[in-house]
Amino acid sequence: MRITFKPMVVAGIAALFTAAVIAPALAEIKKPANYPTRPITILFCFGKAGGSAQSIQALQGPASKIMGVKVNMLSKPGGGGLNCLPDFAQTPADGYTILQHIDALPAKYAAGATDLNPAEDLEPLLIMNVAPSGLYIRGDDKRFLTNGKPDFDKVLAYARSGEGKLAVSNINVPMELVTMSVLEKHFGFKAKQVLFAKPAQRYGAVIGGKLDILLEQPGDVSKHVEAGKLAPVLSIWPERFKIAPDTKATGPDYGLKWSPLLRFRGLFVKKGTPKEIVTYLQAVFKEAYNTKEHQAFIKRKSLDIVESYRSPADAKKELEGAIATYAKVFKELGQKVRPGL
Amino acid sequence: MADRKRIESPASRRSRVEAVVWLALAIAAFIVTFEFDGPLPTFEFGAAFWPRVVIAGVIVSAGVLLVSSYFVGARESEAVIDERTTDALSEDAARVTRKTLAIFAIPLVYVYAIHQVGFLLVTPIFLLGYMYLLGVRGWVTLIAVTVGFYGAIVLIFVKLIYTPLPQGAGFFHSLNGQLIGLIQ
Amino acid sequence: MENFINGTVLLFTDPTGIAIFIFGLFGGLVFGAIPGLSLLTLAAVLLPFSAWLTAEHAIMLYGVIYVSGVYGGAITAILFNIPGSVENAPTAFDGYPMTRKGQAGKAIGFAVTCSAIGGTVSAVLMMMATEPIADFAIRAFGPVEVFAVVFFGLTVVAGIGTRSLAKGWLSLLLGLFLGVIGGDPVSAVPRFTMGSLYLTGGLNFVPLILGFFAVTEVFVQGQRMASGTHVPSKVSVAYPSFKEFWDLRVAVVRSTVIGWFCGLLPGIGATLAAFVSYNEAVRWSKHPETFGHGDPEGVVAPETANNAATGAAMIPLLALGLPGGALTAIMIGVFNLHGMDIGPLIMVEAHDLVWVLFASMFWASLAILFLGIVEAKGIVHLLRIPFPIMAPAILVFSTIGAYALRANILDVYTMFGAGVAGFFMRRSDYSIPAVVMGLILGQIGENVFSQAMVMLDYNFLNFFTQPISAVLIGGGLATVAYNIFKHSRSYLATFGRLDETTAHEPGD
Repeated sequence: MRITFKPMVVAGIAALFTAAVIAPALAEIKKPANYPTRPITILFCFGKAGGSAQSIQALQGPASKIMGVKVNMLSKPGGGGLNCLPDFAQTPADGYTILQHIDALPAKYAAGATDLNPAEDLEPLLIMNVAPSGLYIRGDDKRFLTNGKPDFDKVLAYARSGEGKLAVSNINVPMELVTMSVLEKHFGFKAKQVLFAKPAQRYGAVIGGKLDILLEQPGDVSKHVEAGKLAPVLSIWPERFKIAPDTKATGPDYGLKWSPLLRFRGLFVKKGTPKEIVTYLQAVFKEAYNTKEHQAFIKRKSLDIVESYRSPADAKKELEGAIATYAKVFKELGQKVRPGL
Repeated sequence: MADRKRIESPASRRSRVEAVVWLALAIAAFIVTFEFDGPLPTFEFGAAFWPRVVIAGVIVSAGVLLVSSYFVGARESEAVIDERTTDALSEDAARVTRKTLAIFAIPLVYVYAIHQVGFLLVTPIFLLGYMYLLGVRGWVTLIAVTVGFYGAIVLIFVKLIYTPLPQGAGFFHSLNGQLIGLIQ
Repeated sequence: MENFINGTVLLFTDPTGIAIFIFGLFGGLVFGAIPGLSLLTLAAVLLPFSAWLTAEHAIMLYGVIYVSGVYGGAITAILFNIPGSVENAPTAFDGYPMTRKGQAGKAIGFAVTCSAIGGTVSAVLMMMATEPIADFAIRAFGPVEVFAVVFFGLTVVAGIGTRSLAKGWLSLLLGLFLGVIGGDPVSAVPRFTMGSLYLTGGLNFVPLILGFFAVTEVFVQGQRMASGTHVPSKVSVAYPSFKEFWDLRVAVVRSTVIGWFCGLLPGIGATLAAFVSYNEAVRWSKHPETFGHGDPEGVVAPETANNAATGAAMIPLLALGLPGGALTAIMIGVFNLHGMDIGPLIMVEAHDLVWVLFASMFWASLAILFLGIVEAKGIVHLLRIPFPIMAPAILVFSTIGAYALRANILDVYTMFGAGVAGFFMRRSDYSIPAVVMGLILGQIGENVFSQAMVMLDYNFLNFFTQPISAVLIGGGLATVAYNIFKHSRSYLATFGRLDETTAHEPGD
């Protein structure tokens, strides 16, 4: 079993500690009259087994216990995370439908692909996951191994041997696409990218040898790495990850001076939701985030490389920052940018 | 074709009309595809490629339907033309038409009503009314079935698994909300 | 074998285990059968509760729900033309016409037995070689091959349920077109949305399927009622004879193989299995024109395949941590709740638990058989309820089903719209099964097409550089050519000579 003794103890102590700190705060959560009286739905915009789904699953139980109603989840994938927005737009602003979205939303807004400005048109409840990315190869892909260890220089040599040589398994989300373009520019190659919405297909394509390389966040692939099916070959980060000290990183090993884009996931309700419901939900999810159950998840998924919790106010800042950053990157890459940004 | 007598039938005439409608729709749809053609950064063929293949298929198939209706229309489709249409006409045609229209229209009214007034309030009336329309006349049956079925639905969907059901608008929205609260 | 016995012992040695097994079996059947409820609903509703069960019981419960739920949808599809879920839609193509012909008992008998066979064989294969098979499947099948499978499947669709090849193609293409509406799968570029927010999200297939099947049927029967030509379905509890089963042995084997392979593909699952298997039944049949009009093979093929996919879907899930569909994805949540991360290591880390799952799916598949035989004799009597009483109930159920999907009233209007369209299309000899096939396979197809094209450098001929896709695409093209030839020849036979206009390829 993957939960070893030590993190359990750490998580346990952390939980006891947070419980002690949170308990008095909890009494102050003011429950609005007549809310919630029925199950709450969290609408999310990606596949049913991906990182988004798992992060909701981890909060679902704790949040449900605190509120005393069921918390359901509803997946509406497609269109790089935009196909769920019409569904959300059609729900009333009553706090019964919560939207989970990721960094793709500010990015798509910056690109002008949606008019929903996440920093203005949504009420954030929290940001629950923040994670950097890395590149992965098939665990037994001899082309890219030196003495049995993944070797990014070999990947590079292969990628530079011809345009479209290196086939990348990716997702249609700006964070990943932009990161790939930055790498292509910095290292001087042009890859062929195949985009999958479902993580199973994205991983399967590399594990099955149909594609060469996977761009992903460490937590989501950790189980495949442990089983030897995938191997990390490059961390896209200013320093080597503490959890993968042998894996080269773009900053120290390849001199890429760039503040990498982050995967983040947050929960939102519609603007116009009654104030007391918003405040209540913000308090509920903060508490759910800090439960032992959820903290174990954060640990297990390596979502602690950088701090994952952001308060509603910080979430708003994060979103504003992301819109500005993406607008800048898109301009540099010669892509479409929302007029006025 | 000229050397043989053509068998003109309602089926072939109808096929011809349908083919023309298909062609018109397909051409209109094809024009609309220009709103979203152009390559995507990650897919050269762009968003219009697949729909255009489908539309081209419709044009070819409709063309075949049109051409074939001129000389094979008598053969195809003929056998499946509804015998009931002719039967119906021989009867009290106006009554049948009225009833058929009601069979189509009442469900639509029902959907509109559940949206405005709420599922819980409208459904029993719909159950009762539709059964009556289809010829159920025994009052015991009408009421027993309505109560039984409605009760089962409320029990399963509202009480046990909290399925979202239309709550109506305005005043009815809060009324239904209270009703649901009571049942749960 | 020892593992299997251990798993079985763990399953059945305490009364709680047995009670949960039975609960899962009936729960899956009921939720699978009622539109608006699906096995996913049940699985999601039970997820929080499963935390209180032991890991063995929780995992077993989901294995059992999966198996019985996939079968459950067949009952309402056969009796009332309401497929309980998407993977049972092809079952309605022929199952309901069989009911209209007074063969409901037979249709259910076929569905039950074949579900059990498909499920059991699949469970056995799953137990024998999970890991090597998972590795094979994932190395052999990428987007290129999956597109080839979909294309191969689509090429026979036009012949189902209509006498006119042109109308068959038009029905299929209409389905494909409905699948196109909304954001495109690559970049969510809005297509044919006419500025509507609702259409931007794409048409969901649940309301469309409910509309085309259930609502259309109510309208058709209602219209007959009004004109006094309504004939109620005859109730018959006649179970298929052994000979009838024996005659379909090839279909059962073929469908098991197809269902099993489709189940293996990560992210595709039982829906593709049922649709492709139905299409292959049509392709290899000596009398393809009977499909859509109550051919028992049309029930056998999808029901065998969708259950055969259940065991197979466990293979990528357990060996590689790649879920095949929504329910297997929820299973990941069940494992997570019990502190385990499903993935390539699970076979080692939670050896006993995996065998409990295997054993539970095996026994659930067998249990369906006994349950189903009783059902075929019992549940058929629902048909004795007169149509005027059943009709509003069907409409209300469908309304709940369409609305509950995402609490959107427009879905209910869409459903009734599809119902009206289906009514007129059926009167004019268009094929409803072909529309639904086009809709489902088209959405999968366009997605994998865009991936495949990137991998093949946008060159169609490259499909022929890979053996699996070369065979399937080639076979598909040959099928189209053969169908055109056959139809042209029959025109020739009727009219004495062939006019060259009919020799054109319809819809290619």
